[in-house]
Amino acid sequence: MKRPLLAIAALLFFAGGILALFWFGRSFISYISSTNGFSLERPEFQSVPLGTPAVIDLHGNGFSRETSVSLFVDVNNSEAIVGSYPLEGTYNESLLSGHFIYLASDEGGLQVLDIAEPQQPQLLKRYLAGRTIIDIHRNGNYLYLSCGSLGVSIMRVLPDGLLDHIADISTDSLAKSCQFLGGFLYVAAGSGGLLVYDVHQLEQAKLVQIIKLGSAVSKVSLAGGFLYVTAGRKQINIYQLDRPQTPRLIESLKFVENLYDSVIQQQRLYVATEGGVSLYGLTDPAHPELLRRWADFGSANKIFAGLENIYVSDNFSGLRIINSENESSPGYFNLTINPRTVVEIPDYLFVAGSNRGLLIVDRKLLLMRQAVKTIQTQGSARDLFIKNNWMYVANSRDGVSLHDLDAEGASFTTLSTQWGASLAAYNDLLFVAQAKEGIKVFDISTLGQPEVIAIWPNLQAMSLAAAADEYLLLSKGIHGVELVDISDLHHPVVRDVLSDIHALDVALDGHFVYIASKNEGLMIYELEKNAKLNCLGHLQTPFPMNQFDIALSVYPQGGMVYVANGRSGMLIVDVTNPAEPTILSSIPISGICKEVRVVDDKAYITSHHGGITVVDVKDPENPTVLSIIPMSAMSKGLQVVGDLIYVAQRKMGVTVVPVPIAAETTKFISEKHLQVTLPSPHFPGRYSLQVNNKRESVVVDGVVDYQ
Amino acid sequence: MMLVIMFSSVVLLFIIGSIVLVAEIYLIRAAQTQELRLLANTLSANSQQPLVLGQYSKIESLLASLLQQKNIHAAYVFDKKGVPVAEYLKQQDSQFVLQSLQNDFREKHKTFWSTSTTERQLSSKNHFSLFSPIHYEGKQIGTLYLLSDLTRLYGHLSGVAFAITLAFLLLISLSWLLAGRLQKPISIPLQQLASLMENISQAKDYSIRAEKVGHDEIGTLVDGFNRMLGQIELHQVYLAEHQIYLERIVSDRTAELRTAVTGLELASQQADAANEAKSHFLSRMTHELRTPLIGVLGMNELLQRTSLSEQQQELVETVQKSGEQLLHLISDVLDFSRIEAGKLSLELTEFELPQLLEDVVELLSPQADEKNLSLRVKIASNSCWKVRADEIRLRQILMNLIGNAIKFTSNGSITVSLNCSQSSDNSGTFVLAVADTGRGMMAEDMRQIFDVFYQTGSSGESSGAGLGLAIVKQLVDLMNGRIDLTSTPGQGSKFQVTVELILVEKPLHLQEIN
Repeated sequence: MKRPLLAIAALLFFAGGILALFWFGRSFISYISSTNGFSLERPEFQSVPLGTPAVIDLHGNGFSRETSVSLFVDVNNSEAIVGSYPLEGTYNESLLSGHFIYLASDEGGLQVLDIAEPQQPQLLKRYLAGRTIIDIHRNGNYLYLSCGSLGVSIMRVLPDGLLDHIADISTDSLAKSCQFLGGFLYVAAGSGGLLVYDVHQLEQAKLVQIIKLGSAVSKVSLAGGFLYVTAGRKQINIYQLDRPQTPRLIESLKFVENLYDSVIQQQRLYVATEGGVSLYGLTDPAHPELLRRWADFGSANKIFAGLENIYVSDNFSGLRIINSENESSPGYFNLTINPRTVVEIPDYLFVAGSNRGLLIVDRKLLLMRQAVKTIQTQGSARDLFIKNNWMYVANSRDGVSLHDLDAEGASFTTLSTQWGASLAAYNDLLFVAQAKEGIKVFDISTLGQPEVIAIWPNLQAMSLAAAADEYLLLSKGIHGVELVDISDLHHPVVRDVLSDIHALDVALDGHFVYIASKNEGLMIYELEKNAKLNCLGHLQTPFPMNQFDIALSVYPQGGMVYVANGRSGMLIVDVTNPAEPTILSSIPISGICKEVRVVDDKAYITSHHGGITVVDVKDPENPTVLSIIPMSAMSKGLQVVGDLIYVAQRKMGVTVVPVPIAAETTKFISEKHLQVTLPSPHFPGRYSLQVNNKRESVVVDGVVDYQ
Repeated sequence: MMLVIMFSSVVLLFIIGSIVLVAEIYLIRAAQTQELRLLANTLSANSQQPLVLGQYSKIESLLASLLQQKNIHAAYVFDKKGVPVAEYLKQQDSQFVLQSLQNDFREKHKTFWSTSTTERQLSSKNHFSLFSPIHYEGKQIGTLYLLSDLTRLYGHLSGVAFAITLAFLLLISLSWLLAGRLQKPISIPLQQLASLMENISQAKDYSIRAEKVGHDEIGTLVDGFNRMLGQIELHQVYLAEHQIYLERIVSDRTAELRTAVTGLELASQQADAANEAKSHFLSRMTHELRTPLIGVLGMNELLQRTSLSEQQQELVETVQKSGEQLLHLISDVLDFSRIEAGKLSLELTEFELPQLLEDVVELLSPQADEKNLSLRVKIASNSCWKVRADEIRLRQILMNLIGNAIKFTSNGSITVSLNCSQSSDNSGTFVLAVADTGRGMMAEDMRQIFDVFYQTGSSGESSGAGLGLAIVKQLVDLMNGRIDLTSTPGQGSKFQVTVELILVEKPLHLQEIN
């Protein structure tokens, strides 16, 4: 070989070596970096005037030029939750005694925790394993535990906080609550009525009285020698205990709404009902005086008496705090937990819920609900539709309520009193699926004054999709899908029926029909000119993923179909060839994904327990989670209008939260240092940061407070 | 050389690197399998109770801990019937998960998650998965599936490959630098030496000497080379002197030779001139002698026709006889002189060779009869060819040979034979032999018998001038033939002429026979 050729070969070889070195080095460094993990130190809290961008230096590990940062409202008081203690199961009641907390579990008996160091609770012991404990009552050194079908268990409290099992009192029916007074125990025994036991000798309790009330007795409370007994759903009976063995009924408090819970604190009776909380003064215990009522509750499911405050679990989704001193409007606090019992000590709250353990909340950091707005609905909000700042909400009680988003306050117009399941609109027509009540059609051309123009009682649907003004597609659950010709609104005609599909949602894009089905996944049909649905293809996730997912919602856009896939998260499906739909990507999302919408390359997914997840779908094959706004009790309703996200939250109504904001600039300084400039949101509040790199994301709660 | 060394090093490093890479693949794979197995065992152990109790949410909580395992992308727990009851999915790389699940959960693998009681592994170029049975009190109650990527494997491999490539480049770079450094003390002197050798071999100048730049091995090599050049130069001087000496001798010898050659050429020219003059003279003389002799013989014949007395008749016959002998002699001398002068050329004609032989024998039969000799002819059948040759000269050869045989045989017989020893399409080798039972010849005679004017010792029997056999020899040579003589004193002689003649055709009567 000649020398020039040799030189060229050597040069090429060397250049190839350099390239290989670069490539291998890059892969190796990437691998090494990935093993370092992604972490973030908590940045210094900033309080910034609204309208001013915030510049934050982030220090941590694993940053890259691809790291993205977004800002989302701290809906859930994450900042205030300073710790948690992992406990399994659902908790019904709690009791504070010194620095011990006694937690009544739905299936796990009683657990004793030492909270001498509030941020580091310690589990001391478990008692009555496997039992259901509904209520705890303390009198002196004894605990009286209402154990449902197992009656009442009596435990003695030892000086070290531990317990000694003294006796069990069996009841023929469910023991739900009990109170001790003067050697007698009063037990709310559900359908068994009010039971009175003589417990002068604890180990030989003796049933001395049974008072049948004709309805289930669910709660008993004592105040000033009077017994307050919750009878049925709408009544509290007041008994005088001048003769403890034979309580004497002297008064009944009746309620229009369903009564869920009640508590007595400092001569005041707080009654939680379906729509709010009523406060009664017990200056005259025999005749409670209504002092005040708070009505803006979603559903006051449980009420707890703390040291200073009254706590209400609103729809088991948020905590509302009523200050017993000033009796001001109860603030709403989201805590990413379904609060079922609360213990209050001077600086902290201990909140237990379902399967989320025990949360330790710093009371000073608690902020009221961070949502831009909360729109209460009378029933359970299931779907919503917004047009020109008018919002239509399908809910379980009102059917459809109409809300003026510009108006102050919580006024609304009820358009229907029947069950509202789903909404679909086309131009000036709004179709309301009312489940078994059929479909109602509104003309919404006049803002704020919709008119019913058609009622189709024979057409039942879970969800709807309108195709121009000619057809309406009805998703009917196990009854499949119906294609209805609505060219004559007064005489709708069913043109085609797909009866062998368990359809959960249906959507239209052009002449293609996308059906979310329970067992078959995504199904694609063509709406033919002869008003028939022709199956083109279907798609399911591979086994065993398909055993966990349920396509609950479909949203077609730009050759893609976004599927809210139940437990498996969101699927992005390429449907450019409808006969062979292809899964481009799948994003697991915690909870059960119920609804998906795509706006400006961002997919918004609501998940029953996971809240709102915002995903960048610019590259559908590699979608990136931008933000997760943790919320609970989400139903299907979801709409993004401008920079606000409207989500239906069942009994909590509709919650409006700002769209997460991406960082204006992200300056990569090193793997351990990132500087971001965050644009100011339009809405004040405490905001959290979500920092994502290619594979991981970190959330830092409550970083910036825009005022 | 430098390139060879570099190439060898690179190849060696490449081989070593490949071995290391392969070893790393197996090692990391084994480690990853072990880790995955350990993880599966831990998860299986913790899943036993919830699986038995049907607390699948607990299992999912357990699987959720896999979030910390970056390489685990999916996990499933199946009950003993193969029904999936708990799931864990990682948020990223969904395509990887989907493809891997499709690959792993094929129908043919169904036993892996339903009935298989042993651990099963599946892998592809980018995933590795494990089906681990979950046992409780000795019975299988379910199966755990873990899906792992091969990021760690490829990460490690990229590290090893990075190191190997770096080593490659360093090796090449250092070799290059080292070669550059070594070029001055090693390569340059060697290149100069090589260049000097080339110059010396081209210019043949052995007085040039290589420059010594050091006292190392190359310096020793230069010294050795210079010594070798010195010896070559010395030999060159010796050789030059010896050459001059030899050239002088050759020059002397050449001068002497040139003088001798000049003398010889002069003598040769003189001899040729003399010979030419002699031939010319003989030719002219014989011609001049023949003309009056023919006139004498003519007159003598005319005289014989006249009425002469018996004595006159005898005298006239004697004159006639002597005249004819003289004419014959003159003719021989004429022929010989013509042959020697190169003026005789063969004239080719077509004739039948056997016929020629018979004609000559018939012509000489009377002379044989006169001496009461038996003259026999043997013609072999393969020699009966019509040939193309000089008939007159062949006849002359036969006449001389047979005539001599008759002349030198007193009794007995003379046998003339013709044979064709070999033939081809165009020519044949013919052997003409004349054997007699005469007195034979001594070896001395046989050596000189073909010389001019040579006659055997008993010249009383010979009446010729000694030219006959010389002419025969000349004619046979002219025909590119050969004449052989065998003779035994007292028993006879045999002359054998071998000539190659052009074949024309077989005589007609022989053709018919054939």
